[in-house]
Amino acid sequence: MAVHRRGYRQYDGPRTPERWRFWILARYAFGHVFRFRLLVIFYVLCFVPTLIASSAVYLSHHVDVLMSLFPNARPPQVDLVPVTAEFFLFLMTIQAVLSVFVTALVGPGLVSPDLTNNALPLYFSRPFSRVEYVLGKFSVLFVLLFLVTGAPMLLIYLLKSALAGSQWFIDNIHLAFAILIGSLVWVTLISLVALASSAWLRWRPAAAGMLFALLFFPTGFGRAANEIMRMGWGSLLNAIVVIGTVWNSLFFINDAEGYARAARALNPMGFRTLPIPAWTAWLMVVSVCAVSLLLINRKIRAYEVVR
Amino acid sequence: MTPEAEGIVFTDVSKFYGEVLGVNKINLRIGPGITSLVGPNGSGKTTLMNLLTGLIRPTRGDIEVLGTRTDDPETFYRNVGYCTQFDTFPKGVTGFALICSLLRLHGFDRQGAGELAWKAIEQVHMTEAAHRRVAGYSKGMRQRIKLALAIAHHPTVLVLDEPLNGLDPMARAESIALFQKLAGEGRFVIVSSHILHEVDIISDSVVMMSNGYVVAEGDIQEVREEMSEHPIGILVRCDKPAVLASRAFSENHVVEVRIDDDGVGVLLRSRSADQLYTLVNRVVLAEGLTVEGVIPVDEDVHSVYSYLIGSNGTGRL
Repeated sequence: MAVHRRGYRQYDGPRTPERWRFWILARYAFGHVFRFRLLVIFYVLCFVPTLIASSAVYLSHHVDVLMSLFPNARPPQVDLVPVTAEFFLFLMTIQAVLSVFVTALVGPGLVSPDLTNNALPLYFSRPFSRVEYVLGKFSVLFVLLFLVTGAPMLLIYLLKSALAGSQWFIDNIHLAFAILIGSLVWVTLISLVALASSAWLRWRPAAAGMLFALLFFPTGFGRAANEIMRMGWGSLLNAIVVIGTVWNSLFFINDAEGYARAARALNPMGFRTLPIPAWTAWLMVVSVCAVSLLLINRKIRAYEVVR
Repeated sequence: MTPEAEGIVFTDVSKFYGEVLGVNKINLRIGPGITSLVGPNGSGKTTLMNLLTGLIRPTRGDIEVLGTRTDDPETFYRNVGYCTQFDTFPKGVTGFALICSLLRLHGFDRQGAGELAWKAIEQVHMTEAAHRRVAGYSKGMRQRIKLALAIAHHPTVLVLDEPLNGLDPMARAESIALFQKLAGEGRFVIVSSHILHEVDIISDSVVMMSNGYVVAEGDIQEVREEMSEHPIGILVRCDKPAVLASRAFSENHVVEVRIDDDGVGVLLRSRSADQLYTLVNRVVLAEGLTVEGVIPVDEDVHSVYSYLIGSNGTGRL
């Protein structure tokens, strides 16, 4: 054998911390996502409802500004925009709907191109694990969606606290927790479902379609089951009822009457949709997240083994 | 023992994909220099490379690369650079951005990654196309950018799966020169190839695989010498081939003697390499032959491969 003398030096300088390397993937993904102008425009529009809501909250505390706009109107005797659980629940619902569209635009482009282009061995032949890969991709959706759901509503909560005083902040602290936990649950759920569909369906439009299909097809199936079998458990397949029940349980944690009112609001059409117990809705959310993680785990591998 | 001295060690490694055999009972020690993995499609070369780079885990056995294992990825992947067989690129990136981003996964900061990426791109002669999208590269350019990806973080072990595929003769020669340079620096360069004459040119040692098993390993001459059931052949080019031929006929260990059409070469095949070389020396001295050259005719990878695995002799597996 030839004699080989070591004639090179490996890099032995400082390296970035391992625990934040997943963020490198996310940063590149953000750069890619915001290259699409249509998406940027839509994303900015997603803040409009919360902007209107925060303006309304501000004006309800500055009636003088409102009166200067309408000099002939009588000053209102009640709080114009009562910032209650219902207010945040309503806003959360609007933001959640918008976040579904953001997910449909961003989610399919996260994993499927890497799988289509066999790019995973590139990542995994480096000090970068499958968990970090999923975390990197997940954090893209998580950040984008939290910014349009939880973050603006928490800002409205702080705005109201600043306008109404520290006592309001303390008395309604459960609302802040409900906003935070409720939006985290929603964002985690929809992000994992989007990543799973992106991992299994390599054609982007199909992955986006799958997201909507997963949200709405089981709903119809559940309703049919409820009507045919004269039961209410089919509502567990209704994404709106499930996440609504989870949010209700958070926002009306001390208000049984408010919970019942909100639960009835989930069934505006009068279908045989009995309110499902909150724990079953939570269990359903956890199950869907777990199944999504299992599906992601099956697909995110350096080499797919075809038997 | 230093990690470099330990080299790459496979201990009783097997990999099964369900009931399908990937590789079985592999015991190997690979040292510095260029080691070629040779074998037909499905023989387990890529599985062995994926095991070596930690992309798949062995069903059984243990793999150590310079004293590190894949369960310590931070240290392990500092030592290992992998050039995959297939094109594996994220969509829409330029060659330079691709190398930079993947270097950052190694923990290099932006500036460090940029400098290393550019050096690697220079080494593979891709500077002009560095800022073009990989999707627009030719096959040869993609091969070279993959090579740059593998070498950019200065690994000690380079695992190159079919790195010469798709390269034009010029790029092929440049790549081979680069492998030899890297090996000359004391690195471990593991190359899989179908093209046997190239394996012959570049390899310090070979690992021959068939049906998931290692059928031979080591320096090609050593491997050939181990194969005592196959007569060894040499071509002696001299001024009196007929004299040498007649003397060789009288020896029991010689099984074939053939004089070349040009009248200056004689092919001798013998069951004993030692006795054959002794015979040639004796005849040359005794008869005063003027020898132009003594050339082993089956001490190349192709011959050994044919004997062990049964190629059709086309030079391509």
